[in-house]
Amino acid sequence: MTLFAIVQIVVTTTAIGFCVIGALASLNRRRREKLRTRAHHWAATIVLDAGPNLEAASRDLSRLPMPLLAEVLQQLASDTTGESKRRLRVVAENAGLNRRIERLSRRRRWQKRVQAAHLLMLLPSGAPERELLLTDRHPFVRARAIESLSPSGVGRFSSLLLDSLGHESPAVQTATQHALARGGSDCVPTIVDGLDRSLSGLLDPTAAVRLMQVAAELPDPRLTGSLLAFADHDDFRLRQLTASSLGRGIFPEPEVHLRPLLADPMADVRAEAARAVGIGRVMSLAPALGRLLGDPQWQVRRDAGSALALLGPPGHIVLRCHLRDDDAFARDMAKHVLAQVNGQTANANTFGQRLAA
Amino acid sequence: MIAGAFGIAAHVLGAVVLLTATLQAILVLAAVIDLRQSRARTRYRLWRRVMNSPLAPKVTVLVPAFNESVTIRESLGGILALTYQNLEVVVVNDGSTDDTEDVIIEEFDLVEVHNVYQALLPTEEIVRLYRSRVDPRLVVAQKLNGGKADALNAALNLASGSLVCAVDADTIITPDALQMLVASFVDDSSVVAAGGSVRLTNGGLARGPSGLRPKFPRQIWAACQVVEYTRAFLVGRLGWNQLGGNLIVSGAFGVFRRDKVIEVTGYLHGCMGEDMELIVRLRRHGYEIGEPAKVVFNASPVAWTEAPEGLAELRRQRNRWYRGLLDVLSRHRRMILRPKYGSAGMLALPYFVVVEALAPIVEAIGIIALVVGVALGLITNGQLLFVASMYGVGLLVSISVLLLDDVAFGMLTDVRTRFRMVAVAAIEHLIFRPLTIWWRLGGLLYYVQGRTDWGVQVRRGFSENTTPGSPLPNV
Repeated sequence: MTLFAIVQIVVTTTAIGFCVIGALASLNRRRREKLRTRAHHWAATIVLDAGPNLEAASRDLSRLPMPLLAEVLQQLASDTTGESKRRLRVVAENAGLNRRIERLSRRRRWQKRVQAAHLLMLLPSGAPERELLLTDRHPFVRARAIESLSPSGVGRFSSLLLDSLGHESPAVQTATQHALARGGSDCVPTIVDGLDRSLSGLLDPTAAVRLMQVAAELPDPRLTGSLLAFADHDDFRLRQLTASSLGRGIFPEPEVHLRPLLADPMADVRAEAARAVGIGRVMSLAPALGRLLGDPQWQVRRDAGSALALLGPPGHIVLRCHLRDDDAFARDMAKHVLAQVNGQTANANTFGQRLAA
Repeated sequence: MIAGAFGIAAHVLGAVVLLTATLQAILVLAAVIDLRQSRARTRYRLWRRVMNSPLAPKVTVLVPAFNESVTIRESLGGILALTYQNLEVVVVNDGSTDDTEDVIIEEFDLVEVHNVYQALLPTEEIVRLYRSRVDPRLVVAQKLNGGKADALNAALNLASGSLVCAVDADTIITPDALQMLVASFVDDSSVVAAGGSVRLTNGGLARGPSGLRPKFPRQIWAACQVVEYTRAFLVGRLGWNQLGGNLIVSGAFGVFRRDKVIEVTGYLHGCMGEDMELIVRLRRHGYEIGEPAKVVFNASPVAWTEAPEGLAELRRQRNRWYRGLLDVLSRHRRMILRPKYGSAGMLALPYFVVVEALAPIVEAIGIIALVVGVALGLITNGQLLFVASMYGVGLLVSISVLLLDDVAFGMLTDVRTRFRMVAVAAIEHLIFRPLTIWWRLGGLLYYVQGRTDWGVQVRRGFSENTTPGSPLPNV
């Protein structure tokens, strides 16, 4: 009886606790949500420099609980630049957030240091904590610090970032890639330097692939020389990425470099080159794409077909020529793509007619 | 003499319930520790910006479909609306006898393409392959029926992503769930599989202060399953995360490394619990080649699904799950209590044998003995109170899990729902659980007979809040 009574009491207490604690937690969540909305409003005022309200907003924001202030400032600081960012930094400085970041960056537990890395963009560009966190021994902290770098910061720590591309942790590698991609034209010298180093064998092959992935996404003429150097590289992934970059419209004579890639022994490279022809509208390679309609690999045929559709009338002529091809694959692919193109034209006409009516 | 035997049976029943509750309580504590420790990792991880960039690893969502015409439209609409950038979706219609194929063709404007792919895993023949004109990321294969494992293997053959995400056709993933799961692979290269929470939408969805939240269902069996799922995911997955013995990634929502899955020859044909079997095999393979494979559970990414509400449907489901469990344990019995297999062999598998496989059988015998004993007046009040107390301890664990879930994830908003949940937790413990034990006994019988049929699940479609092609807003 005693055991049963004890269990009954404990169960009832827990059940009531569940209802009460849960209700309090809900209330707390709602209150936090309201406060967060107001905090975002104040922070937006600071970012947009809305005249007379600026001082009041700064004052209200500084009074927020530290974790919420850190969260709001971090969210905005990662997407702002120039004067807006400077004003946010002033708020952080006045609220004592900078001292907190400095303290956190020297803590023994990585869970604390990662908080500092998360707020790194609120520190002035020359702060010593930046380098400390960018070379942190814990990959998670290091990755977060790299992710917090501004485009100009990427240029300043270029050498460190190139080393990070070869880091054993995928988190660090991915964060570095993303930081370089975000850096855009500011990062081009760093990327060119890295690609040159990988050609000389000073950068490990995986890091080179990761760097090429970033380079292939950047439409900057300064990259052309370094990118073309990989067109006949032994590693097919690098050839594929070169093919991808050739469709960006930054190369003076893309057909010269794309033609050999369309005949590459690796299907992935041929498919990428076909896509690049379509995206870059390299009309002179339409017949070569036509030949790929009968490629043994389905993805190459698909990409060749799509590229011919993208080329417009010259591509459509090539597709029509292949409607009576001896090769069944080429014939069918041409039929599919033309049906698709005609369907789109028909839809456009109907829409046009409706609009006119 | 007979009265003594019934008394012993009552005590054994109480002891089994207490043992289960105690082990679950340990796992609840482990789950609390895991939630605390993973806070920094979850809060400050890279997924917010990096995982939304095209540089994130390519993920192929594998959708095996069998007679899913009611839900496939919404499900695919939800998947294609995921905010993950580098995405591909492969649907394998596993010889459906309804109009699933027609529904997908019509909804996504499919066009037949050449049936050429690299068959890395042997499967039933793919008869037609389609691509969508509406969304080039969508690939649909019409395949001869071969079961869920076969459909998943076919999808693995067609996939081009380095990561694959297995999703049931009746499941909706929240838009940013994939980023959170993929981040686990980016954080740690030894992770081979990652699973997220599966929550039930039987009661529909409502908009809360922090996004969508499920309404607590009115239908009693669905409500019981909400309590059961919450306990299973927080105790069975999050708790094992901390103890390093995660052996289950829900077949409804999990991400895997494609190369590793192919290395272990994909999903196993003819296995009832193919999702658990794959995880056990991945972990076993990792230990055998000296590269321990990590399986992680992340409670934040959520997938929504519907649970069966009819008792007949539920019986078939539980019967199948239990057969699956027995099948997996039997296939990998060599791992049990072998230090070579680390925490999987020394902790998780013995737990599954004792708590999930054997305890229900002992509990079933105990319940029968208790009922007969009470009817014949052979059980004393003291023995009855002892059994009731032990069930009370079990209920205590369930309510603690509900509290943990509420505080950590904030899915509940009003006090009335919390009171209802407590009442349902009691019903779940006193009525639903004995029922599932009874169904498991049926599963045991089927397993002994060697039956491998799946039964039919009736789909009702998602709540009226969700419309075809309109994705769920961010949660």
